[in-house]
Amino acid sequence: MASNIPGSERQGHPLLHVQKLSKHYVRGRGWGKSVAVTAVCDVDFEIRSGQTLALVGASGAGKSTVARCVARLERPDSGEIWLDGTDIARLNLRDLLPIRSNTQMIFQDTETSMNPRFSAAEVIEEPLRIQGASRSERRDIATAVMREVGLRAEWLKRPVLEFSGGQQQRLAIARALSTRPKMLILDEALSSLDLSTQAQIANLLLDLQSAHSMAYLLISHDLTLVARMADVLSVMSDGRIVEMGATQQVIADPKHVQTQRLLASARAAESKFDLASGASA
Amino acid sequence: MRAKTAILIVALVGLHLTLLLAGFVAPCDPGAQDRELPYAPPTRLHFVDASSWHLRPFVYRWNAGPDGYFEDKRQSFPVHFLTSGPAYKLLGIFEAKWHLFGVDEPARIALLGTDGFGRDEFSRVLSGGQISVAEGIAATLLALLAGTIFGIIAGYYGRLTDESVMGATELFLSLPWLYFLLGVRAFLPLHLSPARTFLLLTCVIGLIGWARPARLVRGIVLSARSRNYVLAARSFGGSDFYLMWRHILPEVLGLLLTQAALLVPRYIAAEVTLSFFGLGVNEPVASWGNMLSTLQQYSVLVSYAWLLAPAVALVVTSVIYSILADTLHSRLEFRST
Amino acid sequence: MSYLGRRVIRAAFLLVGVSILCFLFTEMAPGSFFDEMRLNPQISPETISSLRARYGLDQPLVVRYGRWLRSALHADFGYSIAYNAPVAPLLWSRAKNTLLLATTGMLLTWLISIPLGVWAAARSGRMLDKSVRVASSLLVSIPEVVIAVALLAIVVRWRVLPVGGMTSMDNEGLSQWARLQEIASRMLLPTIILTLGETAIIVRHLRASVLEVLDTPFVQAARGLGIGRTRLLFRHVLPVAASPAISLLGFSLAGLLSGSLLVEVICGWPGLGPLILDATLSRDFYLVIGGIMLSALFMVGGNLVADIMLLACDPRIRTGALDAR
Repeated sequence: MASNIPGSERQGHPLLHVQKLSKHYVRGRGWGKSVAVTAVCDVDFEIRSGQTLALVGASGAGKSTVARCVARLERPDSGEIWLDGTDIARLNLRDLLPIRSNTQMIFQDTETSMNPRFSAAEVIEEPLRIQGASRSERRDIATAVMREVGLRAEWLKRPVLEFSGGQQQRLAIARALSTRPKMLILDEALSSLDLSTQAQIANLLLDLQSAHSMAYLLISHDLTLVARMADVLSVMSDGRIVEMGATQQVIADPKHVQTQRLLASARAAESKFDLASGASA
Repeated sequence: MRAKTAILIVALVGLHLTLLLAGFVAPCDPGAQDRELPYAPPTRLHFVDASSWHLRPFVYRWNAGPDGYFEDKRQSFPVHFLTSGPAYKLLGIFEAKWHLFGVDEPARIALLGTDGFGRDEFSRVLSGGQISVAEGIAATLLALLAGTIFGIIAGYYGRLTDESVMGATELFLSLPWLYFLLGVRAFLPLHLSPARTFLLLTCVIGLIGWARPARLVRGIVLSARSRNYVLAARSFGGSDFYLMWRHILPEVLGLLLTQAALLVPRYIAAEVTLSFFGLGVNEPVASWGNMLSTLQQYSVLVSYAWLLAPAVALVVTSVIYSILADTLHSRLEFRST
Repeated sequence: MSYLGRRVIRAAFLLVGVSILCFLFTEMAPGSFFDEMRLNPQISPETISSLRARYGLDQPLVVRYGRWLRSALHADFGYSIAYNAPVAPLLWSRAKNTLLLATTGMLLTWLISIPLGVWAAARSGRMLDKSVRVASSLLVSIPEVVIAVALLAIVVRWRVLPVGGMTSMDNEGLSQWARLQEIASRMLLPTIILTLGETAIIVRHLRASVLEVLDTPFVQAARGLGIGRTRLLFRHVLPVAASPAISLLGFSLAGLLSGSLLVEVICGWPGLGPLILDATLSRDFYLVIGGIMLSALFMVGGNLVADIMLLACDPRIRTGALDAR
């Protein structure tokens, strides 16, 4: 499936390969009556470097769970997660640490994902600090990365709260870039931005992607954005992937009823944007 | 900075500095007895004598008479400032002889009168204050340290650890404080060297008081633990210790400061109460508590009002700390929202 | 399991925990009642060891605890060495006096605090409120010990009230009414001391609580409907503001019991306080343990009562709406 994705010329080797990923949660109250809720079941997909795969679906479909498993914020119950040749699904935390720099996550609610008492520099440098980089290394990288996301290096000393919403999003991206990751997980990362900022950030992300050949795992409910950024579109429902393929193909010819429903509601909501061409008005 | 805060800071610093330099500020040796002068009223400062008006105050000796003490106006003794007097140990280390003020022998300057053994009450209030306030601060530090450690552990690791720690705090909090204090004190040796007693009291008061700080710290840790930036830091590979140190502990510091300001006066009062009952610091070492215990005899209580000086000192200290606590509370609580 | 049921079980666990704690402490105690005796050359070592055996002090800790627990369940709290009498009756006769003092203090405190707190909040920012706030802040900062000694000094100096003991010497010859009067007059000073300290704390909390409720939408709505001020305050606001205050009852009780110890000793009121203090000083362990257990029992009982009241006052507990776990 991956080979006939348009634009695969600029894409490299498979970076992330998820096989038969499953996770369930146990929901119980105190003294009994625990209920096992299956969040994700038998999920398979692959992302190449330089490629973007989008996971879409209704709320509760399991998209965020997949993202958290790939980022190893959670431990999958079964399955394999091959990242650049290593199965990270069952590694313990100590072995995982050096590998963490390969994947970074950008969260939906940017503001709360950064400690309000920190300065921009402290926020950006945090992953490096955890990895054990020296102060001068951290400072150099922070400065470079600030510029890459379009912010001025002098602002490094400012407290995080003094930045606007869009700027904070850039800070979050800068933080993610600091360890030179090979893959970024964007968990509804643009959902809380206004449309023009969203467009700017989306452009920034695309530029960064081609500059660094990063793979993106994009979680979103916004099909316009997905149409714009993703090469592969994967539709999830009730913890399983029900349809997957090249974005334009899936949009043009949805085969599964869930996909059709999603598209229908997206079309009902949108008025100005042209879904088929992926251009914004 | 507002005037109120400035006054508060001056009061705080003044109080602690005076107590720290008690040996210097006090004119007499707190332990020096004078059997000729028991229960003498406060020495009166005079500025005017038969001839004229003086800038430098002077005093007369007290003589014991059939109706009590009267001033011996035959000889006046001027008050000297920055004079040498009985030796003492500054900060417990350096030998020194300079005092802020004093009078020549054989006169005594007892600004707050003398007690039953003729000891200068003013000097004793100062040196007793050293003990009582130091005790309060030490116990507070211990309680906060223990409370923070347990609170962080309970809040961070949750579930079973949390339940057990919270159960323990409920145990400690469900007992009436003074009964508990007495009980624990009951089981420990009554007569120890002053240094050991000090340590003992610190441990007893501090270790009983860990429960409330622990609960408060746990609350903060619980809410901080689930914050997104903590999750993010974990996704970068941050260890438990890193998360606690870098993200959670700073949240706790504000609370700890306010709690410290609240607890210090309470623990000073605890030491005073214990010593008052004879369960704390014992003679001959002075503490505000054992100085007040002589007042349990009604005759002393009624006739020699100046012996209430330690109570006044205690109230002043408590009020200053109370205002500090209020100020800290309003300053720091707004940050956390 | 019902709310109350859970609370009762918790209380039982608490009491057991306290008893274990007490016994652990006795193990740590280096001195004992017999140390003084040992120093006395007239008492032979055999007498001492037989005395120890009689009181069961030579058994290992666990055995001692087991025996104590069993007898405690039969309301037998051991034997007081100093008084040479069983602990339980000793405790109980004194406990009645302490309960009298504490409950009177409690009632008085809440009788004063409720109207004061509510009115201060209602007239927030004005004269009454300001004076209440200053007075309570001041009282809260002054340690109980100082309040007690200061008031005692005033009372004794100007002979305002009789102090010391519960009754005077010629108690027997007086009528029932006169006897009651006597007890009441002697109880006045300790009660006032207790009430002063506790009222300051409660008034502050109540005032803050009422202020919070006054801000809520339902009160604004009630005002808009034209409900009169007094009716509004006492029939609508107070019941809601009372809930957090009732949960204060538990802590209030703890504070009162602690305070009563101090006050009893200073004023000479024959309650548990002086008894426990003497027991501590003479290292009469079973008496001390008995006293602590009794005070813990009062505390736990008081908290249970507070829980029942809370259950009655706050419907949210019954429906479990507050159980956001």
